[in-house]
Order: sequence, then C-alpha cells, then structure tokens
Amino acid sequence: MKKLLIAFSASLIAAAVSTGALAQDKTKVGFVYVGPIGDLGWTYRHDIGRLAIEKEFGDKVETTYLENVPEGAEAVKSITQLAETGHDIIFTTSFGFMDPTNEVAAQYPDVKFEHATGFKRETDNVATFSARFYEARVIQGLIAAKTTKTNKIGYIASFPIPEVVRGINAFQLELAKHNPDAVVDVKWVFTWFDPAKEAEAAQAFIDAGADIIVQHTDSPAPMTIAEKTEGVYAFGQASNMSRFGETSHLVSIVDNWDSYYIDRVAAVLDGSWEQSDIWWGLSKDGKGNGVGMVEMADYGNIPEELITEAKALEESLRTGERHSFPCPIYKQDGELAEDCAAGEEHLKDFPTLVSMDWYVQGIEGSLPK
Amino acid sequence: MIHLEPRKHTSAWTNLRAIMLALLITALLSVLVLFVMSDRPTDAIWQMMTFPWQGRRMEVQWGLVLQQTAYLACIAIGLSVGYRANIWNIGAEGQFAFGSIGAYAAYLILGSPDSAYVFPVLILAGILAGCFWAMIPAFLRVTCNTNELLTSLMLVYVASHFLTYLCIGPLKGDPKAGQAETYPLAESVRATKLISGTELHTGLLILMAAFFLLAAILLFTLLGYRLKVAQHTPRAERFAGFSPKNTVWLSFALSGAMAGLAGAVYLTAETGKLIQAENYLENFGFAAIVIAFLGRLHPLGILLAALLISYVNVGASYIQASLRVDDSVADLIEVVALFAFLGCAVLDNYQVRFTSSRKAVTT
Repeated sequence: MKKLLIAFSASLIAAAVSTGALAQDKTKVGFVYVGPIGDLGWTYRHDIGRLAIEKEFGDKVETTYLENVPEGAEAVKSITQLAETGHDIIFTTSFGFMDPTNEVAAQYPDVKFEHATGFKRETDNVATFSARFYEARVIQGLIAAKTTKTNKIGYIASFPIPEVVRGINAFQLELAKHNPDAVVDVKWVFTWFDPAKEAEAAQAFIDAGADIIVQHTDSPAPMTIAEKTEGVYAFGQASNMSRFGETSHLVSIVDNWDSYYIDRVAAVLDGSWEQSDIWWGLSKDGKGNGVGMVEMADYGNIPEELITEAKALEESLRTGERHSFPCPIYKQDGELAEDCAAGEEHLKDFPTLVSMDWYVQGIEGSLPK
Repeated sequence: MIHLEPRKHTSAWTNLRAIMLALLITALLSVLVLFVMSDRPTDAIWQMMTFPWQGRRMEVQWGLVLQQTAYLACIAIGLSVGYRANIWNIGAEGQFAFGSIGAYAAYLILGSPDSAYVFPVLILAGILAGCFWAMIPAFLRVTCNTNELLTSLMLVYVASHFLTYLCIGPLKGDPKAGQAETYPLAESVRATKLISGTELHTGLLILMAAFFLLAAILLFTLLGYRLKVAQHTPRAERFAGFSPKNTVWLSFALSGAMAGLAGAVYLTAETGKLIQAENYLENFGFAAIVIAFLGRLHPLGILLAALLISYVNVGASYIQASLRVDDSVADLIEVVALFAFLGCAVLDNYQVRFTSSRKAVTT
C-alpha cells in the first residue's frame, strides 16, 4: 500500500512537470458539436472531418471535441474552455454558435475560430464557412418531381435561417420546373436533432398523403419512418443514410468537410491562416475543380433513366454550367427577385443568398416571422 | 448481524471527523474514476485539481467556478428551508424557469425600457414568479394533502414546456436566430461584467447577498429556530403554537423565491433573452438538491458544497477540453460525494455494532 502511494505521488509530480512542456509541441485543434458524434448525420460528418485532420497531420496535431453542446449560455463556456486549454484553432459547427463564437473570439485574438454556416466575423480571428447544400437540393427537386404519385411532398425544416431557406427554394424551383402540380408542405420543427420530433413530423406528412419526405434535420429518423410505409420515399441528409431506407432511400446529400478542415489546419501550421468566408458546393471552385463540401451518395429506388438524368444534372451543377438559382426567379408574391430585375443571370451570393429570407413562388404558407 | 445503534453523543468533533472521512473517500474514489476514464490519468488528476492555474487566465476559471457556486448556493439554501422541516420541494428547476419568465414579462409590460433603473423591478418580478410557481405544490399539499415531491417535480416539466412555448409562440424573437428565442433585453438592463472575459458579473453579488441574508435569518432569528423545531420534533412545533400548514407555505415561498431570483439573474446576466428550454436551463435547480444534502442543510455547509461541486464541474469541463476526458466524470464524482457524505452522516449519528447471530436470537 505504502509503495503504491509513493509510486502514485511520484507519477503525479512527474505528470505536473511534463504537462507544461508537452502542451506547446503540437498544434491543438478543437471542435464544438451541437449533437452527439453518433447522430449518423451532421455532427457525425464533422467528426469524420476531425479524424481526417488527425490522419493527415499525425503527430503534428492534437484534436479535441466537445459534443452535445447547447446553443445557449453553455456554448460560451465550452468554447472558452477550448481557448483556455491552448487550442490554436477552434471549429464551431452549428449556426447557433455564431454569437458565442464571436464573443469568445474577441477575448482570444491569438486563437483562430472557424464557424460553420454563419455570417458574423466581428474580429479578424473569425472565419466562416458553409457548403452550397442547395446544389444538392436541385437534384432532389428533380427526383421528387418525377417520383411523386400523390404530388404531395413533406419538407421537415429545422430553423428559418438562410441556409435552410435556400434549400427549400432550390428544391421548389426544380420541382416546379418538372412537375408544376407537385406541392411542397414545409413543417418547422425548431430543432436540429430530435429523432422523436423528426419522426413525428414525417409521420404527420405521410398521414396527410405525402409520398416524398425531405429533411433538413440531422437524424435518420424520418428515413426509418418512410421505410415503414409502402410507396413513400425519402432523401438522406448530411451522411449516407441508404442503410436506413432499403426500399425508400432516393439519394443522400453527404457533407464532406475533410478537405476544407485539412486546408485550414495546414494554414495554421504554416502561419498563413487568414479570415475568410468560404462556400464550396459539389466542387471546390464551382467550376468542376477540386473536391467540394457536398456529395451525392447512392442513387436508388428510381428508374435507371432518372438516375442518368439526375447524374447529368449533378455534373452540370458541379462544373458550373448550370446554376442552382437561374433567373428569372419570382418571389412568393409574384414579384421578380431583385437580382433578376437587375439583369443578373442568377441570384448572387451576396447579399441575396447569404441572407435569403423569402420563399420563391409556389411554396404555400409563410416563413415564421 | 450488523446493528446500527444511535450514538449518545455527537459533537462538533465527530461531525468534522465524518466530513473529513467523506472528503477522503470522495477524493480516493474520484481518483479511481479518473484512472478508469482517462488514458492519461495522472495528467487528468493533476489538471482536475489545479485547473485554475493550468489555463491561460486564472480569473476565467475562477469566474466559471464562482458563477456556478453562486447559483447553486442561492437555490440550495432556499430548498434547505423546507428540507429541514421535511417538506420536499424538488421543483426548483421549474421555479428557476418561471423566475426568468417573470422577469422577462415584467420587462415587456414596462414597455421594453432601455434604462438600468428597471433592473431591480425585473429581479423582483423574477422572485415573485418563482414564488408563484412554488405556491402551486404548496397549495395542493395544504388543501388536498398531495405528495409535494410529485407535484413539484411534474411542474418542472410544465414550466420548461411553457418556456419553450413562449419562445416558439407568443414571445418569438428573430426567426433567423437558429434556435427558438425571444428578442434580447436592452443592454442597459443587463447585469454588467466585473472582469471582462470572465463570468463574474454584478448579478452574482445579488445572489450572494440573498444567500447571506437567508443564512442569517436561518441561523439567528426566531423563524430559523421555529423551522429547526419543526425538523426535529413536529409535535413540539404544534405545541409551541406554530402551524405546520404555515411551515409548508413558508418553505415553498422561500425556496421558490430563491430559485426565481436565480432565474431572473440568469436572464439578465447570462443570456439576456429567453431561449427554448433545452438550450436555456442548465439544471441548476436539480443540482441544488444535491448541494443542499451535501451541505447537510446548513448554510455554511451548503456554501462549501456548492463551491466543491462547482470546482469539480468546471474542472471536468477543463479536462474534457484539454485531455478529451468525457465530462460525465463530473456527474460520477458528484454521486460518489453524495454517497460518501450521506454514508458518513449516518455513521456520525449511529454506531455500527457487530453481534453474532446466536447472541441476537437470545437477546
């Protein structure tokens, strides 16, 4: 017992001496997740990105993550702890972390902050990034238009933020183009990850006659509900959800953060990190070059010719031959969108898409105001 | 056979001995927990103990600790009033939520003024709202003799759903916020930071003032004495002319008021707006129950217990960030502490006697 105690206290002292020295060697990368890494969707894909960093840089970096962080006052504490423990770059991967990220960043000017899907960069050490998920929504719009039999489509939406609104609009534009009779019903569930609520919304849509379920939430619950009902199809979100819908999965939007994360950490390592606001779609530059942040996975449960058509559309979006928001675009009330009225070929990123808070023509109901 | 026999004499010394023993047991078991849960246990243990000096700025860590301490101590001392008299309000979390709602409602009723003078009004409204929510289980107990454990707990869920409803429905703020929330309070109404970049703000001073006020009442006034009587000998309470019903009302009112106060301060200092319940409530109301018992329902004990548990919680969040140790470590340590302290309290009041089974039959 006595020996054990001595050994124990000796190792404590050794640890105390060594921690100070060790900490400085590696570049520390921290992540703040809104959900659990096992959500099989959004957070899961970000964590894959974290692992890609570890794989790429090996011993040069050390990564940490905090999961299930609520977006209220606790987010500030979590981000602060990462900054306090010597992290050099911190990724905060939910829209709701926007204000907390900027608040903490102001206190730690030497730490780099990367906020996903937001638009506030109040100090030089905050960068934002987002994916052009709406490019994938265009493809979903095409498939939905040609697959639905009831012409009713249920769209499970999380929060009425621009990212989600862009997705709904891109989907509706392509849907209306191929099937003017189809109607999108949007249901706001006010959560990113709540399998029970998401399932409930999907079931409500099915009960009301919808045969296509689209989701902008993080769990595979809606897919599992669609799978239970004959003739109902669904799209996977954030990660490949085909295994939850053997007979109902149409295609999944897969988020791919790996190459962006590796780029940014590399920039910290060589000292070239700068504030930026980066959006990648199916390709890095929107012209078909480089791996983007959005991938389509496992087309299925649709006829071969529709797959071919969808893949052709994917390719044209990837190369930039086709834009997701081509003019003319009319708003819900019939008014021509400002960019189109000004003679643009398509809607502009700034300020139109980044702050989109209106529905296009054909969507029923109104955005929660 | 093992018997527990009441001790004839307990003193400050045996009391202190029990507490020291509990602390020792807690420390040893915590070390064990960290050994199991961390792949660098010695680092984890060392950093957990000394985290305020490990981080980049000591005042940030102490700020986090003291912030939590203030909320927990304030709510826990309110709860201890009832617990001393065997009245079990375990719904402080709901009263906390109502404190916030009350304060925000008062702000709206006053016409969203941009003036520091309304700050006390908001605090007062929070106290009253917390009090109001606590009155419901008190009323049910006094009139229908319902079990207040159940009613006060169930009302937590009612309160948190009501909070979320307000944020999604009638009081909905900016829909682009990414979570359901109300519009924020004007900056001048909010508590001001004492040290920039830390969690230390004027609201914590209010919480501590309330804590010490109630502590003084409990320790030095007739009211405190009366509650003590109610705790030890309920019959004597009646003989002395105190009504048990009034004790129910009083203890619920006080505990509700303290939780409501904490809720109002939380609104003005931490968030500045109401947010859907799962992003707003930090479980202070539930954690405070543990604090009340760890502190043996004594004001000084509660303050120390709140400090200890806050230190453990913040330390766990620190090692989670620095060493990737899951922060459920904090919950485990809290539970270990609770068992050690309750166990040692029993050993303080009772003596263990081992007798052979044959002897037990003959006697």
